[in-house]
Amino acid sequence: MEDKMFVVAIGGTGMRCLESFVHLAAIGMFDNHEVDILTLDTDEGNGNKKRVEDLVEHYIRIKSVPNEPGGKPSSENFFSAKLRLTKFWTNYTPGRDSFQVLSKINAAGDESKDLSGLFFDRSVQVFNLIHGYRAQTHLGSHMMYHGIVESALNCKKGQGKPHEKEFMEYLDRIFKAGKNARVFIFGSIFGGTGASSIPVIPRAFSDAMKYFKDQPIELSAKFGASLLTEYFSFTSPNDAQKKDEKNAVIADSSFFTLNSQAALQFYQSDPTVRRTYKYLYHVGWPVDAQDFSKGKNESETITGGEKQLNPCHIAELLCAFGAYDFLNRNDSFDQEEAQYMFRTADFDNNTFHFDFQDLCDDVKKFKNRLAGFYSIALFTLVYHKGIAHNQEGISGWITRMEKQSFNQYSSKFEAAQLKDMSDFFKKFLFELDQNGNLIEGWFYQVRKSFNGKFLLPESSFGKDMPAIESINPGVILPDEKSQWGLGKSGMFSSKPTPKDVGSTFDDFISEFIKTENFPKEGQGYSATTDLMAQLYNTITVKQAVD
Amino acid sequence: MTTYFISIGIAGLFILIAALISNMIKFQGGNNPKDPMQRKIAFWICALVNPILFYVIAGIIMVPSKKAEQIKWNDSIPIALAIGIVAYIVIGFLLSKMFKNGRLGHWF
Repeated sequence: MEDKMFVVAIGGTGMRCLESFVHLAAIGMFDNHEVDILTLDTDEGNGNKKRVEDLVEHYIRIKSVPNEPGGKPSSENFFSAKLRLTKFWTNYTPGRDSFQVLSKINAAGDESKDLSGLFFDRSVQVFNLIHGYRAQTHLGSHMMYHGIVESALNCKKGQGKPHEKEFMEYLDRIFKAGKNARVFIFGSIFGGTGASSIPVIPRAFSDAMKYFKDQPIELSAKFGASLLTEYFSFTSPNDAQKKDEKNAVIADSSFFTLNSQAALQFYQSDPTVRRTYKYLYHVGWPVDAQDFSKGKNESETITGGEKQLNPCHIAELLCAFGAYDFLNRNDSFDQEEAQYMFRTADFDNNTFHFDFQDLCDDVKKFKNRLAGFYSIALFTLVYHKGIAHNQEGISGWITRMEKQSFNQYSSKFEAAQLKDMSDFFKKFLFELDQNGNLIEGWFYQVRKSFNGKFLLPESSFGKDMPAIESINPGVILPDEKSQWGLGKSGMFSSKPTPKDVGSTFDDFISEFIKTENFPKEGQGYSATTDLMAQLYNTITVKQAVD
Repeated sequence: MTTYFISIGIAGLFILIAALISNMIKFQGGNNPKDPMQRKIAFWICALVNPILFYVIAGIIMVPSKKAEQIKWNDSIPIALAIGIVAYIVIGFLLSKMFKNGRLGHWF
């Protein structure tokens, strides 16, 4: 029996790692997989959480067919994996928003108060939990465990809220899969929520199920996690912001290195972590941290909420590839202790230079699918004019098919489906806002997060419309065979020069309308997946990656 | 008989020209691409120039010098012209249907 895949994203960084993971799924890296995703945070309205949930929901809608929400897993196609999303957040609404209130410590005796005071300073006991655990991992682990188990007890009493019930169903699926469950956890180890949760999640899941079912139950799933050390910074909190007792504790990025060190020491020595996790993917960023406050004119530290909407970073993509390795690993997972996994890339002039083989062992697959998805997104947004915020470009492909007397896509799409597909490409690459300003998508954000080389040539990341319009997707891969956008060598030069972009698009369409590139069995099962398969087949022929 | 052959030959030449032009017109993107209409226009412009060129060649340049032959020649021109036009349209239509999924499919 094939293993069932579960991915848990915790906290702001975990959400951004998940964002990279979902984009990898969109480019088609998880063929024939079904991935059950859980977003776990203290704050329902966190900006990064909302953003990735919106992304997953777009993905699910693109794949969905009537009577089959989320669609089916497929292969050799974009959006090949089937994703399922469960959202969970701990309940820190007003009136239950601090350790002091939740533990009812004020009503306890002096001995309990003293004991509590030994572990948690007063400031830690009273700060508002809604924006996470603010780098107080000793409190965070305790509270996250409490939040998960409390939800299980609520459900057992029949008082569970819808998101708590869905969460228990998620846990049930992990337990039902038994030894065939692979659970990968995304989260940082230097901040608050993610760092607090990684050590306690397996135990909290197990105990929650035990209390819910009211019987001893063994968690036999195989766990893996990314151990992501500090890679970003933000404005340090000032005294004025900390004046309010509820806000007296705020994570300070200047301590992130120390936090990382402490967390790693703990994970290394904690027998539960070492025994529970099979693989731990060590991801570090020994280069200047990205300043998330840069250009934002923030007077205060953003502690959470909808304002916490940070851009994506290559370190998160590396974590996503950790998950790729874990979920695809052909392994018996029978080792007694966690294995630490790491890899490195070319480092020069104080920056990394990433090529395809630095991120993934399946180089051919990754190269074809990433460059392919990039090209299709570019054509859809630029040549089919889907780039503006209120436009979609997918109908350009359908119109072309109709103009060539192929009607298999005619009247098969609803307007919302066209918009969802086009929007996904925007989230991947870019879009124009109402004022015509370029809003960078995931791929652009990752590129911008460091200075070195990143997979595709620098010309693939145009910063304004003229530069974007001049990107020739036929010359983005370095191998000669993959340079399908080159013209013939001229009379005075033996070296072929790139065609104009219009000719490259024309070449692509000429291939796109060939019947041999129409979807094959197993690639698609609906109009949306068939169209994606046809685009996938076409770009695969053009790129000829080997 | 010569005028008929000239007419059909010129029609064939213009079919070839229309096909070349149609293949040179690039596919465009968007919901309302102009390239199908451009190919259609190219086809019908060629359809228009075809009889004109035939008339110039057959009716002015190649007219026989002898009066008797001239009358016969001139009498055949309208029929040859009609044959050329019909041949151009019929061949164009057949090619368009044969390659209906390609660029020539935009002619009809």
